Amino acid sequence: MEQFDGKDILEIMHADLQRALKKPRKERRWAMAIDLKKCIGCHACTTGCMSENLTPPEIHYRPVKEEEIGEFPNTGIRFLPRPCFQCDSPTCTPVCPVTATYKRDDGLVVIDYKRCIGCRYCIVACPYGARSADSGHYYTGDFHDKTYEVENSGEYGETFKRKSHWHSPIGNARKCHFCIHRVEKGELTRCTTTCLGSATYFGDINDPACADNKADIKAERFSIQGRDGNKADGVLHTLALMARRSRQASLQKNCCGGGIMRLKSIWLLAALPVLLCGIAYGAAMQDIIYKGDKATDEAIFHGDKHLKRGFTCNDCHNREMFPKKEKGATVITMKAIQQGKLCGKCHNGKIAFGIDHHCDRCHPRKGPDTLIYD
Amino acid sequence: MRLFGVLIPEKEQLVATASDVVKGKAGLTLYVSLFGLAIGFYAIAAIFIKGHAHTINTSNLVPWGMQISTYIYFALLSTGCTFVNFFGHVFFEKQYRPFASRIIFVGIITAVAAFFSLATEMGHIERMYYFLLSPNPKSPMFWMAIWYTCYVIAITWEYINIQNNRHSNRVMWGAFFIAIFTHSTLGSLLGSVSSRVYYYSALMPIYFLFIAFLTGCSLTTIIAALTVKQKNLDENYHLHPFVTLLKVGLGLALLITFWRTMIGLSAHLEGSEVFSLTLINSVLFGIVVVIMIPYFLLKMGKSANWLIFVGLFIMGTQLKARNDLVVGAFKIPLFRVYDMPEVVHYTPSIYENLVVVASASLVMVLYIIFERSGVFEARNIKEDH
Repeated sequence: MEQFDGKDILEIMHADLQRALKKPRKERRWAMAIDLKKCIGCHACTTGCMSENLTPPEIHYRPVKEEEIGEFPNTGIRFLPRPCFQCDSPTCTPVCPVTATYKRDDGLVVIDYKRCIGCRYCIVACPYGARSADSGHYYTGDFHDKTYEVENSGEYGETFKRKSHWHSPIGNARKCHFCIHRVEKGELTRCTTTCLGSATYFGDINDPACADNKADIKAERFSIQGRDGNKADGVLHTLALMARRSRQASLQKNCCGGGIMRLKSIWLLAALPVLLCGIAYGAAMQDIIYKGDKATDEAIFHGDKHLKRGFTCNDCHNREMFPKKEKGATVITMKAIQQGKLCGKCHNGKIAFGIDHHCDRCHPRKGPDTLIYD
Repeated sequence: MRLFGVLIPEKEQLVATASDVVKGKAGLTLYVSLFGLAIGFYAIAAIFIKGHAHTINTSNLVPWGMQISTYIYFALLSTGCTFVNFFGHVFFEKQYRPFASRIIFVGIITAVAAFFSLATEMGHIERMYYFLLSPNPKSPMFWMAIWYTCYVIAITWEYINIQNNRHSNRVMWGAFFIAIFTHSTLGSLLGSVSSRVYYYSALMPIYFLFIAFLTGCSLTTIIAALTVKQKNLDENYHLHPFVTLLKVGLGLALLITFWRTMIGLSAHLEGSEVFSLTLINSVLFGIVVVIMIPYFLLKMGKSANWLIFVGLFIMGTQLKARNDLVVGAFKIPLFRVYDMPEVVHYTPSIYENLVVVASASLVMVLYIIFERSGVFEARNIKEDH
């Protein structure tokens, strides 16, 4: 099991969960991050989910798909776990004619089984195929007298026995709900606990308390990008985080414990020594050159490189690092960086490259695409 | 307002029809329709009793299948009847008058038949009351339900007016516009699904209206031709408006089908390749067979029998076209990874096919019973007096 600062990641996540549960529901925001580099395609999460939610044949809340990446001849296969992404602006909830599916205060998209009329419109509308129709299939065919076929799944903390097609959840749409029945009892989601590679992280991304406690914990960090971001605007914006790329970073003050990502805070973790230039509005997506008094002061902030690694503006523009997106608002000195402040928080040789012997990486010549702020 | 004999058949007439059926004098069409209704209702009962798992071939990859396409087909037929009723009254009043009550009645029963098909597709039809208890105004399906209810009320009102010789232009216009709202909303139900490129289009509501006009014209042409034959009316005089409307319908269908295909082909969205994948079917079937051949058939003859054939041809091909439209959107899986099929195939089960038979038979049985009972003649008898 993966160790963080001598602690099991599950223990850390469990502690985070207990802390989150003490808050009112509307102040929580459940999130899941999956590190694709760690996913070994063992399907333990799928199996665990099936046993937890007693899903019938052909319904998998969390399948693990295989996906080809790269271009020939440099191709490879990646395992792609696909829970419900609990979209920020879900396309499945507005189409429900009877408001049987909706987004809760804590970010979860849930289904009211007792209200669902089984029209399947939400299944058609979901761009990720994360919803399924429970038609009433049983593993044992017509002889569904086995207890495990009909017993209470306990989803959403209620009793739902699959007795016949007149009884929910048969006839309903079904989907991953981050094991909310477990979470509200203080237990982690089943897929998180069964993940052999510790690739799945779960917690409350609104948790402010965890940051200071785990400032020195190392974890895999992920960038989040929707598969079809252009089609379903903001689909993967906040909650369930499907990792498209992974990189090393550290758990800094703006993130939750156990490797749980705060999407908008990832930028914070890899600030470069010349981040001062990046304070300028709208310039973070491009390379920015900072001109100092002397020629050797000239430095470049590679906005595009940070962007490609999945960082956003707010990752660096926070109270601890660069609170204002304004030129000159924060004075960056090599001394501060050497002391582990500002860009040095990440550029310390452990998370990102250190400043020793890497002068050229931040003090290069200007390129043709650079944007000069002076 | 009289109910029996004017709006619905007299009890004696119903008894006489039943007696004819028992004695074997009801005619082949009614027997075939009754047989279709019996096996269709058996299939519907089986779907409700056995459940979808044992009767329906839809899946998570193809969540909507033949029942939805049948629903759309019959809903569009109903709309088309309302359109023809409107244009008939406005532009061809004298020629259209003998068919008015028949056509609007068929509009009502096709709307009911559409709902039969829809009911078998729903997982929990018994919870439909949640449309009132917890409505979602953001959902096109919610508005479709609201408009659909209004629509059925409006055309029933129109039918009552026609049967009572109190035809109201206001109600007719109202029914016409409600039909437009209802079935463009039905189009928007598919057209607003951004995750399915095959559906997602502002053209879809217009597409539905144009196709509704075409299918409605074909059905009303059949009804008119049958009535002309039955009552020995002047074919050329009475059927001319229907031929004209049918040609207009074919033209509109050609226009909207062509542009929908072309715009789909030119798209570069993820999933747009479904238009290329279905191109041969779209062009050969969707345009040549469904639109161009009927047009040439119309040029070949104008007799009542020939028009019945052309009408049946259009209705048959349109049923497949509606199935192609609904199922086409699911041909390419959304989440394309290794264990997903490149192209998703769907074949409706026997039960799903029988639902179509049930809906069609219901329309035929009700129409034949009403026709035999002389309900549609009540207005003329009253006029004669």
